[in-house]
Amino acid sequence: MTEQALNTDLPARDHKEDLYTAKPWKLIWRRFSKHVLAVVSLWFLVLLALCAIFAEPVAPYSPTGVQRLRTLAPPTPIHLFHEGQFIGPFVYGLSRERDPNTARVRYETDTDTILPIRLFHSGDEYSFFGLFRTGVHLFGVEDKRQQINLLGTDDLGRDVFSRLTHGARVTLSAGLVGVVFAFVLGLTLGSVAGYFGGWIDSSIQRLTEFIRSIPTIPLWMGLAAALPIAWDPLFVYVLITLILALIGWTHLARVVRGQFFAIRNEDYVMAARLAGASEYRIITKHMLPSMTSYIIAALTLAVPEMILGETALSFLGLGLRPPIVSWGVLLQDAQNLRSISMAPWLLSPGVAVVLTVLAFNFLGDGLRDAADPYGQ
Amino acid sequence: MVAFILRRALLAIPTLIFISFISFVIIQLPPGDYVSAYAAELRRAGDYISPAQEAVMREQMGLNDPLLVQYWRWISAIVLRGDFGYSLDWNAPVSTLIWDRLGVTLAISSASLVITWLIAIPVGVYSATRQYSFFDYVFTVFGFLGKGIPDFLLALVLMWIAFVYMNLHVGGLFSPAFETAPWSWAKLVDLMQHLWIPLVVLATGGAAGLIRVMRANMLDELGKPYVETAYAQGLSESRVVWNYPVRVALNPFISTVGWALPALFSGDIITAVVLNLPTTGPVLLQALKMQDMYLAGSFILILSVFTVIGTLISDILLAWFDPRIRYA
Amino acid sequence: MMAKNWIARLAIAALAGTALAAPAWAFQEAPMLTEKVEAGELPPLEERLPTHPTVVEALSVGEYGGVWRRAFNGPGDRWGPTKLMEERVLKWAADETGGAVLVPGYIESYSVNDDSTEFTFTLLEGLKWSDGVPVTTEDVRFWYEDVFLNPEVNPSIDATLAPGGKPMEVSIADERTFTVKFGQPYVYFLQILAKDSTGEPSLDRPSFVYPKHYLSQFNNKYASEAELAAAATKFQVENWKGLWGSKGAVTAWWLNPDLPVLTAWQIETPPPADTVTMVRNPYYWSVDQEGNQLPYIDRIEHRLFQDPETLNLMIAQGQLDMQDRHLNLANYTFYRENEERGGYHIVNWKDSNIWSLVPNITTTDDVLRGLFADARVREALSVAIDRELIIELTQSGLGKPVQAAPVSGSQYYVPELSEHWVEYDPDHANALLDEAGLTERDAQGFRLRPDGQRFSLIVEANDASYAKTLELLAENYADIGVEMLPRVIDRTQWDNNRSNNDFQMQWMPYDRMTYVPADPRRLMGSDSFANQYYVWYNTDGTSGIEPPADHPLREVFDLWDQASSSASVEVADAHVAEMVRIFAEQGWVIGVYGEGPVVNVVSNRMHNVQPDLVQDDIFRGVGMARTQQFWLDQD
Repeated sequence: MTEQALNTDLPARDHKEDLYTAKPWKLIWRRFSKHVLAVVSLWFLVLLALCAIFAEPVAPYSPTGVQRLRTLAPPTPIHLFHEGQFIGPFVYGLSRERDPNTARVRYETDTDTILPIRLFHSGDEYSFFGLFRTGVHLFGVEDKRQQINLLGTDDLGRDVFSRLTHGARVTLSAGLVGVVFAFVLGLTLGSVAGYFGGWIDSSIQRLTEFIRSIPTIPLWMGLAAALPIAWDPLFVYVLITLILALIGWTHLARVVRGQFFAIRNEDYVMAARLAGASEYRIITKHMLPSMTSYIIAALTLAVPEMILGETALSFLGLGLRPPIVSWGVLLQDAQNLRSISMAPWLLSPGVAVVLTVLAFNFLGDGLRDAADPYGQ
Repeated sequence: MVAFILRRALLAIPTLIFISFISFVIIQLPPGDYVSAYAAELRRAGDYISPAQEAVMREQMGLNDPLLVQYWRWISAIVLRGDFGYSLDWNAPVSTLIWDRLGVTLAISSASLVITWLIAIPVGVYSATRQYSFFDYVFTVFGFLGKGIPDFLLALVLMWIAFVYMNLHVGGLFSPAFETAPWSWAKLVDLMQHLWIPLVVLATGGAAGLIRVMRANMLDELGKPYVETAYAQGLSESRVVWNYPVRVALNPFISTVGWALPALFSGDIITAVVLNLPTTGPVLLQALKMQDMYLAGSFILILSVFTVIGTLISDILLAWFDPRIRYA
Repeated sequence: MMAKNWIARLAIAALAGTALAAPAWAFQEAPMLTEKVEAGELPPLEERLPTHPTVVEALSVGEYGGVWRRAFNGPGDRWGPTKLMEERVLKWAADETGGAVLVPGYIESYSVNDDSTEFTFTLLEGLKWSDGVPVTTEDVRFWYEDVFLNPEVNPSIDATLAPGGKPMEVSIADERTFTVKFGQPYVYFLQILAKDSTGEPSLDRPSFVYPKHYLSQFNNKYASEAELAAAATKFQVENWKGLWGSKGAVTAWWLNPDLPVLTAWQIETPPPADTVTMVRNPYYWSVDQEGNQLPYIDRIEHRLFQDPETLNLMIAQGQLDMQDRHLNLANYTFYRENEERGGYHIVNWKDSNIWSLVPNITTTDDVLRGLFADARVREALSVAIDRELIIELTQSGLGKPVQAAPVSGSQYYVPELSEHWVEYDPDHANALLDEAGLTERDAQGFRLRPDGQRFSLIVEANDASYAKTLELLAENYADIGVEMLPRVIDRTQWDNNRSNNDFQMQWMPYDRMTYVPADPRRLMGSDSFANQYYVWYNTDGTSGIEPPADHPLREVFDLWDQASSSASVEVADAHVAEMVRIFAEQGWVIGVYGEGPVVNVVSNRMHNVQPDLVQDDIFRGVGMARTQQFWLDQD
């Protein structure tokens, strides 16, 4: 393995001089940019963030725009050729009928209606960050009745793709707050317990035992009754994620503590101590970096948990729930046999979650490799 | 070591007393009590009980007494007589309710735990030693598929596929025909046909996370000088990997392995609910929602005892696995 | 196709009915019981049946045997099993057209005096408890003196059994006949009886009779304190009172297999078993038109489930023989498309629930209460709703836009009242709100209340499955400048908020209006739009909130007082019709949709499930279909 890494470094020999004098950040960036998957992931996440920020222009329709004549429509296939003739990207129209026996809505492709896909097409009006009103969307089709639904529609006829882009906004912002908070708490308390040991460790350990034994459901039920019902559900959710973080740090803290116990008597820690480094510096610069991989892995694992946990408390009225659009809310909508058997495209938010998490993970891998001083 | 265990065991007593009391209070935190939840349930069914009748129920269930009195009655019965009290909702002793379901719960959760470890540890080690190989990517993608899809959804999709495309009976642990039948070879086969879905769902969720953690720890360790030293001394790869870094890499895992104990006892609640497994988890969930306090309280008490024991076991294992750790 | 089948079956039933004129009664029993008789465990059928058993006209004469497979979701779902087999002296049953009629149960005859103050009942001759002990008026006396009037067991007597505040009097005439007397005329007594039974307090008890030979050992008038304490220990309850009451360890049929009952089935494996089973009562006192002792089906099995999706999976796999509870209309297509796979078919009944937005007209928010009190605002909030759209999108297109009022088929149904304020007209709604003085608007276009705050309504629902409906309603309201904030909250909290007068609006089904006098509480605001006013009325002003002097709800209260004490049904019905009119015209409750189908999943092996019945708690749900005459194909 080590040899392989050396080989890949060979072409860099021409810049040997640069390499020796380069600043650490530059070195990290250089190594990172060689990690193709990490770079792709980075671009993917940047694109996702842009989609989330500019959800209104990116989404062809409003996330709450109900279409009574287009419920549970399957994803619209994009065609280039009509009857063997190239006419650029377009979609066919759909005609709809309800089966009187089973009440199921069925769609037939209407090959007579050809709807070319227009970029920067003018559709439903929206407010652009409160600055001005516009109707420009990244793409769309020009028709009052027909739509382009890249990921189909839900049972109220709302465009799933549009909901997905809007949902990314809530999921990737409000949700991450809790993850970060839990991590800061877990790392801090775990390090302190592991570094100092003794009675400090003992009391932190009893605290974790206690926190892990608290029955959370009645706690949430009490809280649900106590919080004013008029509060915005999104605000309540952020509040809950913060409280969840107060409970969620225990796992990480125990892991960090266990690791610290193992390394606190190592020579390099001792050396740092003898050199007069402050405890803060020893912990953050010497001890924590020895478990970077673990921390990155734990972070990437916490992200899907947070997304899936968005709606976990919704049955108590505390999680995210409609009319808020988030990935968790969209996924919850798909969690029934009706959707699985009749409208599998409603599962697309699940694919989005997996892709996002994979991207976070590969990015994390790339960063770790790039920052690893033992790496070549 | 003995002194350490003894001291921790002593320390556990006040911890448990404190936990049991706080849990008992928290269970009753939501507004109303069991009787008001029950009265509301009746009203929805078109039945009405008068305030006087509610009062009689409260008196008869001892819900009017001060909280401390209720707590004392409950905890003293447990400590002195091993009597966990009575479920208000099920009209059955708590111990019966839990015992009836404990066997199945322990069987399913320990089987899925073992499967998780059997998959995750070798795969994690493989992924780390063959970082960025084809199979490393395959495992990564599968791992995050398992992690990114809610267990609930995964269970539903698996059941639907098993039913529609494989023509299997799904849901629960037995087909209705075998549900009340005595044990036989056919019943065992039937059980196996049902059991794989819960095991797959539970194992994928758990294994995905563990693979990532294992892989990450191994990567941290593999890069360290002592590994290179070991290689330099001419040891074979498998000896190097399995004898040194794996032991160290298991540290984070061992730190929290004890907490699998309470999880074994309650099982995975959400999965059990959708798969209709006769485990203890769904009973606990219902008890909490109905404020069935003796059932919920006893359950939580048992869980916290396991949490405390689990933490202790983890600490002992940590010291045993990693010779560098000493509890001063 | 369904309807045709049904007519064919009816014709057979009618033929069978005429054959019944043959004088010689030869009774038959289930093979399962014949075995027991032959083994000497049971006396022969003739000794078990009453001399003249009640005849239940089966839609078709069935085959004996089989297990009826159902699902239930825990202790809170005991009404599922209960409604399959409730018995009363008089019970609602469906006639050939699907209408509800009162039919005698375990009584031979009954009579009512001219001013409806005395009701006389005669028990069947030779009627027996499920353990073979004869049922006599001694059991009536025991129920009346030692249970009903025993404050230790029954601390308060329900108002429905004490009109004018004076509890009913029961006198015993002979071994089979007893008379119930009231201090004032009570024309609706029989109907109320058919719904509520005689309390103590639950609906799942037989009326007027309790098995004295068994229960006296648990009663404080017969048993010593030591015996009671021993019984409490045996049944694992805190004290002997826990043996009685709504959840009584002894008196609740679904907990105690030893309790003698009169029902067609009795509990065999009680909860907390995962599969609760009920087995036929060998002494059940009714036969079909050919003299076959009912029920046809040997056992009923209820499998425990936790999540509705698990139930749906059971359905698709054909694991249920007949199930009406916990089915959701949103899954209608799913049920229909899996009919062939699961070997079942869907039998539609008519829903009596009207899904409604229920404003709290007694809210503590003075400004909001003032707005709710303005008829123009209530009308605006009703006509602003695009009901057709909501039905199309959330109800698979099944159902009708209706106002909260008795449904069609009810004798109190008035088409104009059902259509009151249901026409979608947002312009009119806007004009009405302008007229009501709500012309000021904020920056986002929402109207301002007189106190300058935004006119917003928090609407509470108790299940996430209603979130979509609320989203649609919120859009409708946004169009008229009213902000609606949908909130899905926990069920217990949702219930508590009503009890505590702590809500603005709730989304809930309005039911029990098919036969209004059997449960008039709903029209009077109980547990819904004016709970505090109802409490004030019901407690004679000792608690609750007094309605303003000119409040129309006072008129509703007065009308019920008059109706419940009228001497003739005609007069009483006129008062009730007036109550309905005021309730609907005032529009206190904003009905959205109703009259959709109630879905029953019925396996293709199951027969005699009559279609098109009205599903209402009043008629005791599935009980109206006369479950004892259901039968399963025996291969």
